[in-house]
Amino acid sequence: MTDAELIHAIQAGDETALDALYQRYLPSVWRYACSQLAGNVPAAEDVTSETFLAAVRQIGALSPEGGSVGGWLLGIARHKVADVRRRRGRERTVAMETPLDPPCPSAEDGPAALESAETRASVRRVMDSLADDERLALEWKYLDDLSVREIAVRLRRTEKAVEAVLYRARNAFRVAFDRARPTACE
Amino acid sequence: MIANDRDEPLGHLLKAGYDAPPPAARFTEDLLERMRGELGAAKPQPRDFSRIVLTLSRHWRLVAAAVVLAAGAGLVLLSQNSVVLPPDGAAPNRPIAESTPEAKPVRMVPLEVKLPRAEFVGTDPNIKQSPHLEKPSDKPRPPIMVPEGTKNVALGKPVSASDNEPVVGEAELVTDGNKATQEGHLELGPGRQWVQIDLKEPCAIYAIAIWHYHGLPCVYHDVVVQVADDPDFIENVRTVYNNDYDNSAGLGIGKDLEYIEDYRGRLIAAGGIQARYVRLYSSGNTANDRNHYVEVEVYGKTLPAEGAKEVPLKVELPKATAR
Repeated sequence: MTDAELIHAIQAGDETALDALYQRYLPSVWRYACSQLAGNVPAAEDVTSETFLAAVRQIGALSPEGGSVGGWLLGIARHKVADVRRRRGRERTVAMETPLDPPCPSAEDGPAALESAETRASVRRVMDSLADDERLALEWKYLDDLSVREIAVRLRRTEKAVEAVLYRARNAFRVAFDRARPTACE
Repeated sequence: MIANDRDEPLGHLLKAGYDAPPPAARFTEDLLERMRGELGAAKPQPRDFSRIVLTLSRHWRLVAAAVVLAAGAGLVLLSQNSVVLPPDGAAPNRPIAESTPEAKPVRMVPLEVKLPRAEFVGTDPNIKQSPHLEKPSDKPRPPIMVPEGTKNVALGKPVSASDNEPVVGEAELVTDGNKATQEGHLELGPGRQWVQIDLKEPCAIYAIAIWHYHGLPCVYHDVVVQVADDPDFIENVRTVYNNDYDNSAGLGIGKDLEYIEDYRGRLIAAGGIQARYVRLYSSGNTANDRNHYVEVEVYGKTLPAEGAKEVPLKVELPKATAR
């Protein structure tokens, strides 16, 4: 089922379609929240919950033909992350109750640890700099192992167009990654 | 298939740097249950008789006025004062209250915007002309017609920003009424940032004027202006200006053009759109990756409180366009 079909079914009150949309986008919203909130699990859970609940409240007014559902959800998540930051101060001051990643290592931890933390920080920054469709396409392809055809259905594009999006996204990622790398974990 | 031998390292990089362990099963199940509850609560209800009665009762003054008018004149003028049910899920524009129940024509006048002193002369050769960039022009911009009595409802109103620790300045500088760059501006960090103005009450907005930094010629990227009914920009969000031609800000592709900043700022017609909150996005500029706001003006009129006498606005407002 395409995103638009799911949205229309949800608007008609279909709970199965709601489950399907949730399963489809939970990983992306969750990853986004974790990456923005430095792995703070309770805060990421707040952002994820508030994002999906706000989406359900607004879904009646949504016109799925107007754009990408993934981009719409990430847009809501962005606002929710900003709210969390407003509530708790900036990212670096958020309490790290349950960090997903170890903290930035020091030189004493050895070059491998430094390299690894630097890489993670760079990858997150670069993903944040990509357009929503590019970010989602990369995630779906490389983290969720979706085929180009499956991504095309989600993005409401042809397979050729998705290949082009992936091509652009890979190039943009590499360029930005090469630029971002030296300053990570400073 | 456009792929190459560097796919594999990219996959590894993403797994190492962006993937996250999945959320706890209990969390995901609880959330799904809450969403189902919300969906049940939000299911559209049929427009039955009781709903019409409820709506009519909310507008009892109009109904009473219609009945009195019809009885007095011996005419039934339901077409003038009929109550229209709002569409499901939509927040329609409310008519503006007047002191009498009769609809009065609204006098439209050209909006007068006070401009600051020009702070530079000439152009920057580093700004290349592109199909997405508006051609610079010294011609005066066409006036925007607004109802008489329209004023800057943003003056002195609270401002918040996506960057809690601005590089320079304070958020309140954005609505302090001062448009000179050297007398205070807000600088937000790199990447996509926003400032948001709380008008403190719902307003009919006829125009929005923005001055980014205009001490040098530069082009701010992804300038998007949205209005909404809530501070989180979830309820009834509407875009009145968007020049993000490649959706790099993730807010959708806009059809407006990028423009070179100068003392005139950017004046956007908003056609009487009704909202309490105004949010302005940008993603750096041609000189650096930061975001600057000198002043934002929102020209409009405060809407009446619920229950005030309402009359239809007898004027065709112009379609929202930018100059």
